[in-house]
Amino acid sequence: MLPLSLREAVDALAREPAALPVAGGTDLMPRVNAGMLRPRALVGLSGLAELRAWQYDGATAVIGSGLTWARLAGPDLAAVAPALAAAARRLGTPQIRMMATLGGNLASRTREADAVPVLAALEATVIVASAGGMREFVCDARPGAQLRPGELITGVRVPVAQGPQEFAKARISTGFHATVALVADARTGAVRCAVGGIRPGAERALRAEAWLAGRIDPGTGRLVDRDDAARFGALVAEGLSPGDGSRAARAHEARVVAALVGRAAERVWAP
Amino acid sequence: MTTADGERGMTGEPDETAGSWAIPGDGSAAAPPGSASAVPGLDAGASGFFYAVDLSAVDGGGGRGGSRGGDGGTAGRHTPPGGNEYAGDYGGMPASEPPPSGFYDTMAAPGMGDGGFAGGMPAPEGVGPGGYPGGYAEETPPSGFFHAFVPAAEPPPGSPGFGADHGFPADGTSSWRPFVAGDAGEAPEDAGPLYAAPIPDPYATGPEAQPHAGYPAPGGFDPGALETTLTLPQIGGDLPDPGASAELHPPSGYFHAVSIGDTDFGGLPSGTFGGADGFGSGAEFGSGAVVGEMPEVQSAPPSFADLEAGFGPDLAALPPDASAAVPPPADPLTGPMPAAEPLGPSPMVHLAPAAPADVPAMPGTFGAGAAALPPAEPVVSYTLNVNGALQYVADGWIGDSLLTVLRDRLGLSGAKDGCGQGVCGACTVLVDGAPAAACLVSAATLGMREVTTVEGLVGPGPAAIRQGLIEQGAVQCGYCIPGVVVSAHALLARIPRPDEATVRRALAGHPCRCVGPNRMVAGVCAAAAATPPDADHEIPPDASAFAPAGAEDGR
Repeated sequence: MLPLSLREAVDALAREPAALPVAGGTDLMPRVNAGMLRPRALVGLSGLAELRAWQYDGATAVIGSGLTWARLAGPDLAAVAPALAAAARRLGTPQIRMMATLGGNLASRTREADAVPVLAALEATVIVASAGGMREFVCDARPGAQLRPGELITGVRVPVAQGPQEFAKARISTGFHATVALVADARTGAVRCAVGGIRPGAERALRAEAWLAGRIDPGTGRLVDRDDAARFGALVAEGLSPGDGSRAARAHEARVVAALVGRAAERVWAP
Repeated sequence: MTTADGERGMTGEPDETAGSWAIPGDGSAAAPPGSASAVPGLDAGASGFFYAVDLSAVDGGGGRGGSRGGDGGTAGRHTPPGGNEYAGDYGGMPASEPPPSGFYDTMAAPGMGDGGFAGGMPAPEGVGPGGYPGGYAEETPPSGFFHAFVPAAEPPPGSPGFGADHGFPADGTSSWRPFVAGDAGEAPEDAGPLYAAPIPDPYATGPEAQPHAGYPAPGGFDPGALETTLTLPQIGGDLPDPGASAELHPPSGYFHAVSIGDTDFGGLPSGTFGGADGFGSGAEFGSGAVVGEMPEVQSAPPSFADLEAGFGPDLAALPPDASAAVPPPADPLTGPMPAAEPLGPSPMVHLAPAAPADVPAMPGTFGAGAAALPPAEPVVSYTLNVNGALQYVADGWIGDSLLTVLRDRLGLSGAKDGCGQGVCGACTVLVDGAPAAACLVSAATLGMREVTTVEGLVGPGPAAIRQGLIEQGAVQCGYCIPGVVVSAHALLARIPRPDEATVRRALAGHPCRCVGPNRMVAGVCAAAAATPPDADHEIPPDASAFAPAGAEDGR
């Protein structure tokens, strides 16, 4: 069905627990096309204008989950969440970006969800609606797993950018990419880094973040030592949780992550 | 046998959810399935395709096991359309021998609507003497894949979705060749040498033809295998050609139409049957509904000659017995057609009893198939806005992608079915003016967003793109080119003079394994340079809230 309002949509999801909400379909349809999934019912979200808006809300911005990645890459949202816009430019093909939405990316169960490390680094919260009302939870490693039946992601609340943000992505194997999001807060000097694509969901590198925060000159906002970027990358890769891949694959992943983080940090904080 | 959607196991069952799935606000709710005229633009011929007949369980149309069937799959895509290459591509078949009819399905008809190889497939030139219409003719029925596209009504002139401006040959010649070789904004008026050979009448002779080596064996194809993986309904009926190998015919699982037992020719549109010669004038054929020429009509039933106007030279070409085995069911898009004379009993009647039992017919179309039905799959009727016209899609499976609907229901085969995962870009269409992978768009949830296929791209801009691609040598197999044109058009509509990097980003979703991206980019750049900046702004930059300016290049 094609609800025209959020209320209709969540009511429909409540009535029909098997219904799948569909916005862009780019995550759903490959499985349907391959015969892996046979939906019992679909709730199309293309009629929900409220999901396709964003607005400031104090020091944060609420970004609608129905915004496509092509839209997220636009200049307005690039000013609000530069890392998200950078991720949007690297996501898929133009045809995918045209249809795929932020909410669908968060709800996807694949480990290739570029929004997740960005939002984890941003310490964003995910706003979901259900027939019972709205709630908001912190975007952790796997926001899709926090969804309860009948809930619909309506948006994310991200802090408006207070400093440089960076996103980097590199292929690690066929169909899989490592993604890195760096977020800096110029006022507090905090640094946040999240790695995605390697493990399910995203992983924050808290220890490396704390280390790097101490290596940034508070006066200039730059690294005191140029090599610290590479050291930071190695530290992030070291802190990754052990994966279940082969040893060679894990070594490769760690190397890719270290390089990615190092490059991203260099772009942001190079002296 | 199954209907086009029957392979998904959803047709034929009275659908209790259909009512609640009516799309609010788009007018489709008011249009009962089959009421063609309830939706404006519906009579534009789009909906008038009949999916006639599969007579065996095996579809030559390969693909990937049929979840997105109807496409020629890899074989169809990459096979040179010339005649003798078929044999070479298919494992040592002597080039002088006519390939089994299934090959034509596979290769000559890479998609259901791709030129619409109705009934007989185009005969390659150079087939051996005696091959047609003798051996080939009888083997065609078991080939299992006939697309007899018969438009329900003549497309109104100037109908944006259908007509001669559609990028398809309007002369009835079978050709799946995309518009790329065509002139600016014009469909190629003929298929060139590709399918110029006359199509033998596959039904000209009886079923006593010798079996062909390339034929799918009944034992070689296991409908149950499809059932397990794809939940396809089983295909009823015996395969008429035992002792052949099925390797060459991967079952696509996509069977259009057909419970033979309970179909009749009551579904025939009142089209022109060209009389005893079996030729339609050709000019009446809608773009996707090009029905193959069948010059070698051996026995045209005189009853067909009475029918007026227009379509189905293939049907006219059929002798009564054979055509009874190839019943074009009333298309659910348009509802039952005016009745024509019933045909005589079919010699293939042994196929008939099993079909209704195993495979449901489309709901509202075949009543007899409702006895033994697989569990219902949810279907929904909705309206799509395609190429400026509203197209009513009745009882479509909710899992149908836009690509499936465009190709199989609406007959717009310009978007190609490549990967089904949004990777290849061959299915690119414009949704609200920005390129999108049609295979990843859920058609049922699209609402009234404007879909523009490559058939709808007319005018100097797309023509310049095509010409640029041709002149720069970007077209080899051509499978990806429709998508490239769509993406390039979307780019140039927003950025009339993009630099090369922008073009490259815009075409990033179109991997081409024939010639690579460079010639493609060069072709689009040449088109941009050749087009006056203001010549082509069919898509206003602010056309869509979904697609901001610059969406096509990711910025």
